[in-house]
Amino acid sequence: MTNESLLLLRRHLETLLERHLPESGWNWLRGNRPVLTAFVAAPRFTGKTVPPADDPLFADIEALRPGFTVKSWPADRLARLWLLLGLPLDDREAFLRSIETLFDTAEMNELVTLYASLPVLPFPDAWIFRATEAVRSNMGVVFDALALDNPYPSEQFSEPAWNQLVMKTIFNDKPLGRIIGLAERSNAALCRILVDFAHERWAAGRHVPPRAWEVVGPFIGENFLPDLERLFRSGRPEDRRAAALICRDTPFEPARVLGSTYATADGLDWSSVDE
Amino acid sequence: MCLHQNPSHFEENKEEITHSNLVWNDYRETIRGMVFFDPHVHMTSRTTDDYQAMADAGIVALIEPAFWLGQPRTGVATFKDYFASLVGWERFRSSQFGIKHYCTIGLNSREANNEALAEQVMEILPLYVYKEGVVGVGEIGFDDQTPAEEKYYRAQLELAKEAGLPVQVHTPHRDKKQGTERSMAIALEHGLDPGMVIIDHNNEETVHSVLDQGFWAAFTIYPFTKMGNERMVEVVREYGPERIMVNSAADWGISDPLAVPKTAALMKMKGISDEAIRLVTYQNALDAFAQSGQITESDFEAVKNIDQSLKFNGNTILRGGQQPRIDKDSIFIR
Repeated sequence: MTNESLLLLRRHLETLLERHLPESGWNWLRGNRPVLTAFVAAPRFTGKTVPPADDPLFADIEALRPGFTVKSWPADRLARLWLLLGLPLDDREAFLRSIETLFDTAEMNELVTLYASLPVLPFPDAWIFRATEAVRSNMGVVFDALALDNPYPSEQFSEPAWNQLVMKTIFNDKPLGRIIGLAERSNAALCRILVDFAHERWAAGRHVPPRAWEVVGPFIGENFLPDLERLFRSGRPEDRRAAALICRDTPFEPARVLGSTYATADGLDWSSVDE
Repeated sequence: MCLHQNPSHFEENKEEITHSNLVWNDYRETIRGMVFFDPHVHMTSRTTDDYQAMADAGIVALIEPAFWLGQPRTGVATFKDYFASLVGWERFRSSQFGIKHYCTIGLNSREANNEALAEQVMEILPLYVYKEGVVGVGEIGFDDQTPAEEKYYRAQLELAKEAGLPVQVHTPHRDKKQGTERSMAIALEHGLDPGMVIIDHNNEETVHSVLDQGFWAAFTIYPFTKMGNERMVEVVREYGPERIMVNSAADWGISDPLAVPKTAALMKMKGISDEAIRLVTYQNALDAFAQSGQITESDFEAVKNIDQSLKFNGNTILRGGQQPRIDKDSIFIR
């Protein structure tokens, strides 16, 4: 994002906060105080009310940054992002130092704010390692802030980092459909990892979330046919729907032929396999 | 900071009937429907089994004071990581069991004696005391009652005053009476409102003066070295429930994370009124630490209604695809 659009975003946030914060909270926020301290203390003054979803500013913000939304953000998170965007945006070194300090000392909700804000921070290449740390996190809300409804990973992650994010999402039983770029970033390595993982799960008598199969279509070959057949014969209807969708998506002709003997994907899309 | 086990002391008390002898089946009916707030428990040192048992026994919220980890730290970075874990990972871990987790942040008395390190820790404390869910400065106070301990106790009282936070004061095991008096006198000297100071680890010998001067008196039900809960019942009988609270201070020593519910059960069995039990095992701790502005009682309910995907999945404790509770009577592990 250009600095102009970041400043516009900041203005939108400001209007949103002015509209929905209690007056004391708004006055506190506008007070001229060091950004990092204010970032930490914000919830004490802003509260955590979520502004009503019908505020037209949400659409303006979404228009500024496709894939990014602050809808459903509580007041303290909105205020914290507004504070971050008040740091000097053209001094890379100083900006990095401030954000790194916040990460280093962050509690859980601060981490959520920082990770959810990555798509609208300047110097996007600077946060890649931090972002992979969220994938490693065992704090569910921290993982979610980076992995779900967040365009940053699909834009910045290397293929191995992306694959790890997808597999962790499966492993953590989080909704795969909320990963932005799930289908677009799929790749042959991920397909192989997923198939191996499915074999392990099946051996243990467990299931694979059917949405995971969205990533395999373009990459399957001969050795996937027994797995495909297994999905078609599954007792779980969402597995059978996933199998039909794989056959629809794949250029691999033998799979399409196999699929036609079972079911069609007519009227189905991947969101229809979510459990 | 809480165990100082003396083997001879341990042996001496072998015959004493303590709350450890109460088993779950004996008291679960007695306290059914009660809710508890344990204002001093070191969950970092406890297992997931403890969290489950605490939730089952009715503990809805707890406070984890920053303390000594059993051996001295060698650098400020490990303090930083420890404080971060109290507002981060441990808080999250607790939420998965439906227990609202708060903490107090401070430099404990033992490590105050390493002055070079203590200076560095003092520098980073302000970064943490203003964090969400930090309900006080603690546990601070005296261990050995050295000049260094006094210096950092005083400095942290000033920090608490500035931040408008309650103070959780650890009182020493040795020379306890005098150490407790000294802790209170210094707090008053710094202009703290005694109503903002919780004096911890009281016993029959210290309680009178603590209450008399307007401080909160916390009692740690900790086998062998601190209070037994039968003695606790008698204290409540004698002094009434006002400004008294019970905690477990459970940590890495032989301690009991169910000390608060067990004490409530014993009080009930011994005829203490339900209202008095509620005050000393829940409400007083809530009132004392809610002065931080960081406790909302409705959060106790909210943490229980936590998003299922958060509660049961996405972490190493409760992995995806796994049942949230295990049947401990089953021989099968699936």
